[in-house]
Amino acid sequence: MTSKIFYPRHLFVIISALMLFISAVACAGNLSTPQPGSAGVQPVSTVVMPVVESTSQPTQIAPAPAIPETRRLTLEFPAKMRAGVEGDVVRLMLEVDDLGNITPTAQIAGNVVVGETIEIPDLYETHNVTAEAQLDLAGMQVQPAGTIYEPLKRGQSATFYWSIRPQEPGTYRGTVWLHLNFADKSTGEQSRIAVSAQIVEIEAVDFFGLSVNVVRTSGVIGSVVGGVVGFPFIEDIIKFIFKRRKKKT
Amino acid sequence: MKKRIRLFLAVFILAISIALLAWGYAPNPHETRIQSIAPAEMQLP
Repeated sequence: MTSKIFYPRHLFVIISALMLFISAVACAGNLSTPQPGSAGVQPVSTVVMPVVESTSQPTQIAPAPAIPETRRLTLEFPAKMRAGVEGDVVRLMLEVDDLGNITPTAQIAGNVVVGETIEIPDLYETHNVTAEAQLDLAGMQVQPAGTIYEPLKRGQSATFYWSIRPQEPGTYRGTVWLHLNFADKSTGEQSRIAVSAQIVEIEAVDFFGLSVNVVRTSGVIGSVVGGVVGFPFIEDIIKFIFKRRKKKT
Repeated sequence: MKKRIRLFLAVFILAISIALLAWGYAPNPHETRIQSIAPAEMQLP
């Protein structure tokens, strides 16, 4: 007697179980993390980032080496000058600010909050510092025309001078640049930072179209002529002044 | 009358000449700007 193993009912149950198993495997496969480099469907859902809990103290970033001085930059220039032969001087001075080396202090509603002093590595120890200045002034004669360099030492000031001469009347605008160059003493590596770029405006004027030389010469000649013309009356003028004084007393 | 005109002329010429000399030799007005630079602004890049 042959027994019938696969009844239609059994077959249905087996197929259902098989489909359930395949579905479970497929779902398990989607949940597993894909191997790097493996081809397949990229996950579209949100990526769960691993959360790293650090128990150590927050790392302190060492401050970059700096010049341990507060400095004062003074720029002096003629805001208005005469056009023509006359020249003037622009002065840029980078000096040590003695009052600047103070720990920052703030006062809020009676409570004094003192800023924490941070030890900044001294740049003078490791680098040669050079101050570099330049005056860009279009349309005006500037001497020296290029860049000026001056070594910057601890506690010493650096001063730059330019001689300027406007040929024509008008308004001249330009920029005074100050850079700091750092050369590593051990490796010789060069680096450069811009410290200041100040815009200057200089107005060159004349005397109703007359140049400075003409005005000065006219002034001298006129004084002589006026003196000669008025000379015969000097006695009268002196007498007149003295008479008024006597009357007052 | 002539004396008065001459006196007026002398004073006029002198006044103008002195004004021209004053303009020609007056010092230029200078502008000064002072800026404080903190150590943090002079750090290595």
